[in-house]
Amino acid sequence: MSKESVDRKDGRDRMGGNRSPLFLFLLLFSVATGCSDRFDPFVESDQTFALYGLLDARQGTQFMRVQPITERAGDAGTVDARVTSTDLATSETIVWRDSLVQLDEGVPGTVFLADFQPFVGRVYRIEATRPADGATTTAEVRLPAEPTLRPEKPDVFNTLVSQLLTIESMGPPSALAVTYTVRPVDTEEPVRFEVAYDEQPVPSETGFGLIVNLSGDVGVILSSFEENTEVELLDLEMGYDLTNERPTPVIGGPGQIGVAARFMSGWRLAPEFVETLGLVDAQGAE
Amino acid sequence: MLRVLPALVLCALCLALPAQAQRAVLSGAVTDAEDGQELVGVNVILNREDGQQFGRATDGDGRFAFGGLLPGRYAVTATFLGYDAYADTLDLAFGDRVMLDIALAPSETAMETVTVETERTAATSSPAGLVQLRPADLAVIPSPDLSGDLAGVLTVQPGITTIGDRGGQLYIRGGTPTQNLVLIDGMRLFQPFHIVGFYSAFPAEIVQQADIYAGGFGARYGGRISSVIDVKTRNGSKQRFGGSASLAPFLTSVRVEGPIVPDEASFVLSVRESVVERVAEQVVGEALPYRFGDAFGKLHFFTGPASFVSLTGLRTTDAGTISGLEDQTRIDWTNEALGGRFFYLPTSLAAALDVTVNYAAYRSSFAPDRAPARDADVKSFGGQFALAYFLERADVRLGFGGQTLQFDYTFNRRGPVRRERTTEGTFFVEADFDLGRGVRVEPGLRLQTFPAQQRDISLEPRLRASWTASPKLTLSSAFGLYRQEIIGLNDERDIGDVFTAWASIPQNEPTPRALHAILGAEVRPTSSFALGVEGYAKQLDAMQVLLADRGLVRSNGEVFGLDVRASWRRAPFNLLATYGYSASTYRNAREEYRPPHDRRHRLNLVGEFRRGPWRLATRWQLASGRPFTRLIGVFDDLGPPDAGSDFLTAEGTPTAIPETTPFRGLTPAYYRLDVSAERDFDLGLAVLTLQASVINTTDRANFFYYDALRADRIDQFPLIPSLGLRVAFE
Repeated sequence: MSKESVDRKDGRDRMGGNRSPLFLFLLLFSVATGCSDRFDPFVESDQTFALYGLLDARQGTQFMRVQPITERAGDAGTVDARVTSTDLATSETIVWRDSLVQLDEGVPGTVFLADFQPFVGRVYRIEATRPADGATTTAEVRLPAEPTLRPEKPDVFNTLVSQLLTIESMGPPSALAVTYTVRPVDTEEPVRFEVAYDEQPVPSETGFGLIVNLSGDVGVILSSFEENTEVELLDLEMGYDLTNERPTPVIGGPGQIGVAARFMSGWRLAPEFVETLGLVDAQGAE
Repeated sequence: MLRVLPALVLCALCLALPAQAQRAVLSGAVTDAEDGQELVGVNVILNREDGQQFGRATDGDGRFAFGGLLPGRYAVTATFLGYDAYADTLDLAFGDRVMLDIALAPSETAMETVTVETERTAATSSPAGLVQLRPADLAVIPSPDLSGDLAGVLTVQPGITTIGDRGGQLYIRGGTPTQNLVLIDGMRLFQPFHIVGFYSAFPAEIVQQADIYAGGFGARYGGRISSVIDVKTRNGSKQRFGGSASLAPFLTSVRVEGPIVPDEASFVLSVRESVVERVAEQVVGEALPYRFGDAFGKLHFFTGPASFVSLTGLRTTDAGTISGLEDQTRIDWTNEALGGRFFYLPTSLAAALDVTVNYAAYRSSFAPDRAPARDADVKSFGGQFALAYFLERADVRLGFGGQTLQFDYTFNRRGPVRRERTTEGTFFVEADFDLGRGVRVEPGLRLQTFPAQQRDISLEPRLRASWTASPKLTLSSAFGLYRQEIIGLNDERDIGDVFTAWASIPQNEPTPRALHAILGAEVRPTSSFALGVEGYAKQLDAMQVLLADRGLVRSNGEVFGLDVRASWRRAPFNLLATYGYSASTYRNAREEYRPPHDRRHRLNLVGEFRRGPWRLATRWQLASGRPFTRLIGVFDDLGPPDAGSDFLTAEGTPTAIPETTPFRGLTPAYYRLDVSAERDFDLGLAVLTLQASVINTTDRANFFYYDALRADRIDQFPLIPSLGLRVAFE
């Protein structure tokens, strides 16, 4: 990056065009006092690139926006950089390829991409290197590991059954959905019903809790079958997305790198509650 | 104990007064014999036949009083620069109450120093940290118009640093603009300077006297921890109508004044309006998008031989872009102040009563081009009741007052407005003891309370002292403790941002506090030459410094400095040289740094030549660079990336990356040469003055500020030639 001094904006002659003795005296005086008007606002730094990206364990292609640190806004343009990711568990390094994109306002920008699906629970080192001098900007990004799903004892009120599930994650899960795998007793094929829970899970000391309305969900499921059909419960799963609560900071430049992963955590319901729900317990049969 | 202290002081005074009551009292006023204007700072000296000598300087209203005088014959003299000396003899008996009105005639040799040897009587208070400016001082500085302004002469004072021509911010001995108490006839002004640095809310034609305390101010002042600018305005003439009008590329101005009831009531009205925003492109080839103006009015009534009432109103307006680029960050602010005053100097008592009420409002808004618009308003209403007792060798002043303040501010105009209210109660007592042999001591104590903040009463001791060792040498000193509960918040990192939001100190934070110490000497080897040297130190604790994205950062600091001032006045020349050295250091939990106003060296040379109708003036300023926070670079902030964000194609928010430790860079040195020439033409009924001036004669590119996002360097004003004219009817 160039660090040249910034001179006055209009380039006026410092002493004007007058060459009278007074101006000559003033010129000599200003030289004698060493009053340079040069101004350099920039300081040398190891900050090289700004990195914004997302490691998404749900996707097969990963993306990273890379900008050079410049002296003027809007000067980013294209980037000369080498971007790699390394799985620190296996030391496998992938070189990302660059792609010129048109930003929202029509100016060019540079996005790097790589075809791989990161593993949950692993740490990846992202490194952007400037070929000219080898200066790097890095980030070590940890994808979340699957947290424990802790089901509480179901709560029964008359014939209505609900259950508190606690996801023992650091950050709040999102896009929660309960998947019921059932099968009418006179058929071979299991059927999966996914019930989305839009409400925010409630934070607690151990994680984030969600009350699953089992009776309500099962009522909707049973209504999709003919009346008096006997239905077996094969499996129960809670699906949710996790991101890191705070994006990973970047070293050697500004920026943030996010992560995303989706987990499906199963649990078992005690047979008496399955019966109360009007289902036949067949959990583990599949 | 603190609650009963004011009562104890009052009781002590009441017990002391009867003993003095049987003695004689001499009081009165000193005025200009030609226009009847009160003269401030006139030395009034009494010499008793037994050799005892007493001295006073007239106050801001031209008044003086001596109490507790023993019977005898007294020689009275009154001397003032530029006026013929007054001398008379009075015989005073027990219980006499004498009112003496003195009219001083302007001297034929106005620029000569008139000195009356008074042995070692110090008529005036301690000069430590104090500069007293009168209209003649204000007219000395070259400016791009003929109206004259307090701002010009302030910037040549050695302890005062200015950021430059744009923005109108003054830093006094290491203090920030929001730590300066600015008063006009007792009313507070929150932003007293215009957006163009040449101008303040105080045109020369309305100023009677300006007391500038760069530190160590007495107990009558409080609520700020750095300095005081106390401006007393003049009254309109009660004898005849007069006025003036001036026109120049920067500013137009009009002043009218005259009697409402001859010899009893008068008015003065002054209006100024900028024109620079309309003509700059043609005159200097560069847009100067600054619009500003002020309007001042004052009514003054004598309600008796020794009492008066005055009503003062002031409104200032400013708008523009600090950088000078028309498409950039816009700021505007308005000051309004309205006040009334009743003053009574009874003939029967050597005492004076001074009651003031005032209302002040300040509104400002700031619309950055890449951030949410901000607004901040502050309103205050209050008053003060003050008494002064004049004893034989002492003045005792005490007073109490209160202010209610309301702050409304938002840092995002689309968001909620935050409102705070607070009430301030104050009590002060101070005395000025003449200990003889030229020694004066001025102890004082100020109590401040903010009930809404639930803080303990703040107790602030002050001490000022001077020793006039000979007519040619005066030593002075001042010490004091100061606290500031109401603070102004502006971004210390961004010189281009003069937006200030006023607020109370958060309740969980200590009140900012400063300790001042000043030691000075003034030498007058000849009647025309004076040399003053003053050293000072300030310790600053618990300041709340706004540092961009880090928010309010509690900081401590120290300021050390030395001011040197040399003046030489002999007709037709008037020369002034000032040099100021100051070193400020701020520190917080993370770092220690030089704040952005820490210009270490400042040198000013001012010269004036007057002969007949001609007047030539020049000013040359040289100042070392000031600290700034260096930049690493600029990037587009895309925010937290997640699956829902458009970080791949979003334009982002342009963001500068400052160096982690602030203020490690240094801007280039500043220098500027201004010259002006004026000639008066006597037209009989009026005087026409023509002026030619050049500001920044060498067209020096003085750095002002760097716009990181545009990579644009903004300089101070370029060479500005100007022609102006004024017509004055007096």
